[in-house]
Amino acid sequence: MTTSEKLWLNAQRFGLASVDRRIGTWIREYAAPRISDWTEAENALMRILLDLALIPPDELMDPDGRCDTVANALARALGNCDREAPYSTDYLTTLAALAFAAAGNFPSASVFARRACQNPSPGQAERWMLRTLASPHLSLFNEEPPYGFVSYAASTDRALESGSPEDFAVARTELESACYRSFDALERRERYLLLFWQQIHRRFEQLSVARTLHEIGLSNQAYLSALLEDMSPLFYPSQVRTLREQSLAQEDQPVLITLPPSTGKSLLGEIALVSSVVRNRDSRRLGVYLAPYRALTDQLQSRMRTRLVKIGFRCHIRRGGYLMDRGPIDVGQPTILVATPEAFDALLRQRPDLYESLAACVFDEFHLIEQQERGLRYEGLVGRFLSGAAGAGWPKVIASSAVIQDTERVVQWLRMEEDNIAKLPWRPAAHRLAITDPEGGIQYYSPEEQLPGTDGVRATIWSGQIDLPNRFLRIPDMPYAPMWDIYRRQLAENVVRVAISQWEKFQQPILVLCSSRTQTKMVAHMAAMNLPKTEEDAAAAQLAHQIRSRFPYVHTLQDCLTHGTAYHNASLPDWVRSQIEMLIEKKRIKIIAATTTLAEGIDLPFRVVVFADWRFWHFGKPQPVPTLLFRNIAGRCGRAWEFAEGDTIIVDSPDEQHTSYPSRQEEYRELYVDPPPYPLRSSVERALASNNDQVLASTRAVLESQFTAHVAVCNGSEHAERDFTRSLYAGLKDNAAEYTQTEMVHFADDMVAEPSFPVMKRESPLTLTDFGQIVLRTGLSPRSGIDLAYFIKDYAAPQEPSEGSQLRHDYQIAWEPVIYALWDRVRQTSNIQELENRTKEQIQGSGYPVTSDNFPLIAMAWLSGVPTELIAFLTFRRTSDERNRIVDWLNESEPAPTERFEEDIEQVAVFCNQYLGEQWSWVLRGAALIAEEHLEALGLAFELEALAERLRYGAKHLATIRLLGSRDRLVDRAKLDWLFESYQRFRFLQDEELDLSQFLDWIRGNESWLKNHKFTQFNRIRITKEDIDDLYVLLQHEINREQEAQ
Amino acid sequence: VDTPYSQYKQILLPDTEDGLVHREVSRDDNAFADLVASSLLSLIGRRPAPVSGISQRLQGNLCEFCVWEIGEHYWGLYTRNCTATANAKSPWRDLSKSGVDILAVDEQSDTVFLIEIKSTCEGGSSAVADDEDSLKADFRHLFEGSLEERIWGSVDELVAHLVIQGDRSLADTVIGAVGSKPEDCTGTTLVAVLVCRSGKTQRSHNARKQAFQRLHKWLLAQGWKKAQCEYRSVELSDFRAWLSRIVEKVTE
Repeated sequence: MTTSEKLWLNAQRFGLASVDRRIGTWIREYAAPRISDWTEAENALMRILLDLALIPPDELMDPDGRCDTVANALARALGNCDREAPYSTDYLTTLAALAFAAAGNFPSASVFARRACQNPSPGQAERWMLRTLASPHLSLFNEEPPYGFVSYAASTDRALESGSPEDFAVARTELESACYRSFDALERRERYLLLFWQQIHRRFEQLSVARTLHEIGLSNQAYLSALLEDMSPLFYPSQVRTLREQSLAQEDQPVLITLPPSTGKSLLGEIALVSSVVRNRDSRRLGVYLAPYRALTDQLQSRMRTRLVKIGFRCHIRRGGYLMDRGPIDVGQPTILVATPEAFDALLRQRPDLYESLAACVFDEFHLIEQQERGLRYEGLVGRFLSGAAGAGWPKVIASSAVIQDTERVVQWLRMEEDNIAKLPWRPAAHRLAITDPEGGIQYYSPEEQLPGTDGVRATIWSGQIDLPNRFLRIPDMPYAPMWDIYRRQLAENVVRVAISQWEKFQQPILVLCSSRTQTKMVAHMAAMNLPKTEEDAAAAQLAHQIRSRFPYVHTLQDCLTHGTAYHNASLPDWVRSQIEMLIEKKRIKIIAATTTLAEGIDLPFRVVVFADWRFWHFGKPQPVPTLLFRNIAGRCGRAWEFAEGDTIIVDSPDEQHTSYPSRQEEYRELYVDPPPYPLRSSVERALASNNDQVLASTRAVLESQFTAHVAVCNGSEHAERDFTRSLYAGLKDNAAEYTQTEMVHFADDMVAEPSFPVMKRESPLTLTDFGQIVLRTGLSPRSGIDLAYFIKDYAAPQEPSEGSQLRHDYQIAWEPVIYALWDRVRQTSNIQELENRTKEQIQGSGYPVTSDNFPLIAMAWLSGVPTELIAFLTFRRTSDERNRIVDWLNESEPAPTERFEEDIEQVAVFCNQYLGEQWSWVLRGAALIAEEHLEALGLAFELEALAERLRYGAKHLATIRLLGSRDRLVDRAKLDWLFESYQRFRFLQDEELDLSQFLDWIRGNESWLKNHKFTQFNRIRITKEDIDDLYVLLQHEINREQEAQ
Repeated sequence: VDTPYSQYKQILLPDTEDGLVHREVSRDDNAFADLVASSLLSLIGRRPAPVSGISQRLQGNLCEFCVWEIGEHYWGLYTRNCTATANAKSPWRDLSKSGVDILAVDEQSDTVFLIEIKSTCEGGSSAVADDEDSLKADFRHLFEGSLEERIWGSVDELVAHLVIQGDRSLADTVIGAVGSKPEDCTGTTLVAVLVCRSGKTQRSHNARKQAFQRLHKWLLAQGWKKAQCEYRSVELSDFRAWLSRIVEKVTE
C-alpha cells in the first residue's frame, strides 16, 4: 500500500468526511458545538495529518483534483478549526497553510498563512514558513529564514528563478542538511513543520514556472523574467499538467482547455499565444485572445501588456462593436490582440489581410457559443478558421471554458485529438452548493468533492435552518396585478434573509445574483434596511456621497451604500459601476445584488453567491438557468488566494411548472447538483428549441451576417451554403444543420436576386458584390444593409413639425431629421433586425416609459445632451400629484424621487445606453459606410457618422465625446456637454475643435461661477464642486496624454 | 562490566508486591543522585552555574530526566534516540514545557510508550489521582485541553525526529500506534511514573497504592485497555536531599 493510499484509508478510518461535515455546519452556525465536539474533531484531524506528514516528498499524491482530495479537505478542516476557544488554535492555522502547500494548493495555503501570520508565532522558522507562503511571490530569502536555512532559502530562490533541475537538486540537498543540523535548535512544534516543508519543496520543483517553461521548450528568458516579476513563481497544478501533456505550447494543433474557474486558464492562453507567435515569427506574428466581456478584456490586457512589451511584443486591445474602433494594427512586429468577439470579427471584416498573419487564437469562455447572437459570432469565427480562411490548419485554436464537460462534439467540430483536451478537475477552493426549501431548511451538497466514505454527489453533506420570513410551496393565486408586486417583494425578503445570514456568518462579500434589474435594486435596498449604517468615513458611505453629488438621480443606491450594500446593473452610469467593482475588490461591500454581467465578467472576491431566482430570461422566455451558465457563475464564489471555500446557494421559489417542492428539488438536482453529462448546444439549436419568432429572426440575421463573412474569405466552393453549415458547431446537429443550410440557400437566393442592391452574385462560386463587400464591413445582416441602402437612397430630410417644438425648445432639444425618418421607417417592423429586439417590443408594448410616439423626442433629447433624469421626466405620463412631487425633487424640495420615477430613470438610462447607444449607433455607422462608399452621399454619410457617435455617448458635441471616450466617463455626459457648449459660446467658437489647455484655463477662470450653476430649469441638476474637480483630473490627464503622444 | 544497567541495579530495589505498581526503591539515595548527575552532566556538556534554590519547575525537569535515563538504561523500554520529551532533554532550566513528558518507541517491540511523570517530596498519592496537577490530569490532557498539552505535540515531534534521522519505518510504527482517542491507540502503552519519598510507614505506601488503583480504574473507563497501562514509582528515602545532591554534583 502506498503512503497516499494509507492516507485515504485512514481518512476513512478516522472519519474525515464526518469531521469535515460537522465543522462545515459549525462554522456556518447551523449547530452550536460543545468544546468536547471541537476537541474530538481536532484530534481526528491531527491524527490523519500524521499520515499526510509521513508521505515521502517523492511519493506525494498527484495534485489533480482527485488524489489530493483528502489532503485539501484535511487542510481546510484544520483551518476552519481556528476560532475563539479556551485554548489557542493558532497552530491549526499554521498546519492548514502547510498542509495545503504540501498538497500543491498554494492559493489556499496563502489564505491560511496570511491569517496565521497575524498570530504571535512562537518561532522564527514557523514565521518564515508562513511569510513565505503568505505571498504569492514566494521569496524565501527575503522572509528572514532562520539560522541554518539561509543558504537553502537562497538556493531555492535561485532554482525558482532559473528552473534548472541542478539548482533544485542543490536546494533539496541543502534542505535535507539544514533539517538535520537545525532540528534540535527549533521550537518543538516547528520540528514537525519540517516534514511538510520537505514536501512543499518538492511542490516547488513540480510547479516551478521556470522549470515547466524550459521543459516545454519555451525558454525565452525575458518572458520568463516578466512572468516571475508579475506572478507567483509556481503554476497551478492544472496549468503544469496542461502545459506538459497537451500540445498547448509545442504544436499548432487545436486545444480545448476545460479547467474549472479560477485555475489560471487565461495565463495558459497567453502562453499558447506567445509560444505560437514565437514559433512562427517569420510568417505569422499575430495572436488573438478573445474575451467576451469588455471589463475582462481590460483586465487581461493590463495584465499581459507589461509582460509582452518586455519581450518586444505589442499588445493591443479592441473592445468596441462593429465599425467602432478603427485604430491601426501593425503586424510587422509580434502582436497579441485582446478583443471582444464582435471587435475581432469587425477587424477581420475591415482587414481580411490579417487572416494570413494569424498564428493562434484563444476563445475564452467557449461555452458562450450557446448564447443568443454572440454565440453565433464565436461559431462563425471558428467556422471560418476551420474552413481555411487563414490557411489550412491556421490559426491554432485554443478553446477555453470552465464548464464544458461533455466534449465529444466539440472535439469533432474542432477536428482535434482527444489528447489535446485539458480536463483536470483541480481547483484551489472547495465549492459547496446549497438549496433552501420552503420551510426554511437549507441542504448543502459537495458535488465536486467526494471524500472517502461519502454517499455520492446527491447526498446532503449537511443541513441547517434559516428563518425565512415567507414560505411558498407554490405560486399563490393572484387575481390582481399589485399582488404580484407583493409576491415578488416577499420572495425578495427571503433572498435578503439568506444573504444577510451569510454575511453575518462570514463577514465577507456576498453576491446575490438576480434575474432582473428591478430585482437587483429591490434586494440591495431591502438588505440595506436590515443592516446597520456604516461609518460616515467608510468607503461605501463615501461613494454614496460622491454619487449624491454627481448622479443625484441614482438615489436608492446611495441609501444602499450607506448600509454597505449595493446593486449593479446596466442602468447605472459606467463610473458608478466601476467604483462599485473597486469597492467589491477591496471587500468594502457586504452584499451586492447584480445581474449576470457582473458575475460572468471579472473575477471578484465573493465568499458566497446567492441565486435569488433560478429562472432567467433566455431565448425569449424565462427558463431555468442553464447548467453551464450556473456552473460558470457558481464558480465565482471562493476566489483563489482569497478563500479556501466558496458557497453557492439557490433560494427556492415556485414556478408554474413545478408546483411542489419535491419536483423542484428534483429539478435542482438534475440541473445543478448532479447534472448528466451536458453537451454544449449551439445557439441555433437553442433558438429552434425556443420556438420564438423574435429569437429565430435575430439568430437568422446573425447567421446571414456570418455567412456573408464566410463567403468573403472562404470562397471557391460550389456549395457555399453547405460548407458554411458544416463549418459551424450547429452543423453537427441534424435539425440545426438543416435549418441553417435551408435558410442560407434562401438568403443567398435573395441576395443574388435583389434588384437594386445585390449583395452576392453566383458566378460559380458564390461571391460578394462590391456592395456586399461594404455590407460585410458593417457587421450588420445584409438584409439590414439593403434596407439601409434604400433608406439612404430615398432619404429626404423631413420638415420639423410644429408639434412638440415648444417642448424641444424648452429642453434645448435639437431636431434630428435622420432619427425621425429612420424611426418612421422601422417603428412598426423592419428588415433591420439589429433594431428588432426586446427593447423594441417593450416600446411597442405598454408600461415602458419610451413609446412609439415619444421615441424620436427621447432619442433627440439623448443626442442633445439632456440629463437622463430630465429625459425620464419627458416620458412622464402618470398623475399630476406624482408629477408635482417629481418637480419638487428636481427643485430640491423633496429629498428623493418617487420610487416609480426612479425606475423610469433607470429604464430610460438602459434604453439610451443600450438600445440607442449600441444598436442604433451601430446601424447608423453601417448606414454611414454605405452612404459614403456605395451611394456616394457624402453629406448624409457625414451626418450619419456624427449621429452614430453622438448616440453612442448621448452628447450634442463631438468634442464632449472625445473626452467622454477617454477615461471611465468620470464626468456626467450632460454636464460635460453643457460645459463645452458654454465654453464654446463664451469664446465664440464655431467648430468642434477643442483645445484642452484653453478649456482648462476657462474652467479655472470661471470656477466660482460654474460651481453650483444650475444649467436646466431645476435646482438639483447643477454643476457641483466635485464635477469641477473631476473635470480638472480628466482634462489634466488628457493634456498629459496629448503631450506624451507628441 | 560496569554498565549503567548494572549500576542502577545495584542502587534500585525492584518491588512488585502489589501486582499493579512496579516500585523502584532507592537503596542509596546518594549513589543514585551521583549516577543521575553524572549522566546529566554528559548530556548538557558543561557545568552550569550554581543555583540558589530548586524551583518546582527544575525539580520536575530533573525528575523527568531521571526517568528518561532509567527508562532507557534500567527499564530498557527504549533507546533515547527514539524519544521525544517535553523537558527531559533540556532539564537544566527554570522552564517547564507542556506535552507528554516522554514519548518513546521501542524498535524491538514496535511499542509506543506514553510516559507521564510526577514528582513530589511527599508520599505522592495526590500527585497520582487528584483531578488537577496529577498523573490523571496529564493523561486526561492527552486528548483534551489545549493543543500543546495533547498527545499531538509529542507524537508530531517524535515522528519528525525519526523521519529527519532517516527512519521512516519507525515513524510509521509510531503513527500506527496512535489514534484519535484512547480506544484507537492500540499500539501504545501508558506509563505513569511517580518519583517520590518512599515514606516510612505502611500507611503512606497504601495510600499511594490506592491512588494508583483509582488512576487505573479511571484510565480503563477512558477506553484504555488493562494491558496498555503500566504504573511505576521511584521511591527515595529523602527526596529533597537526593534532588539537592544531584544539583550540587552538577554544579560543583
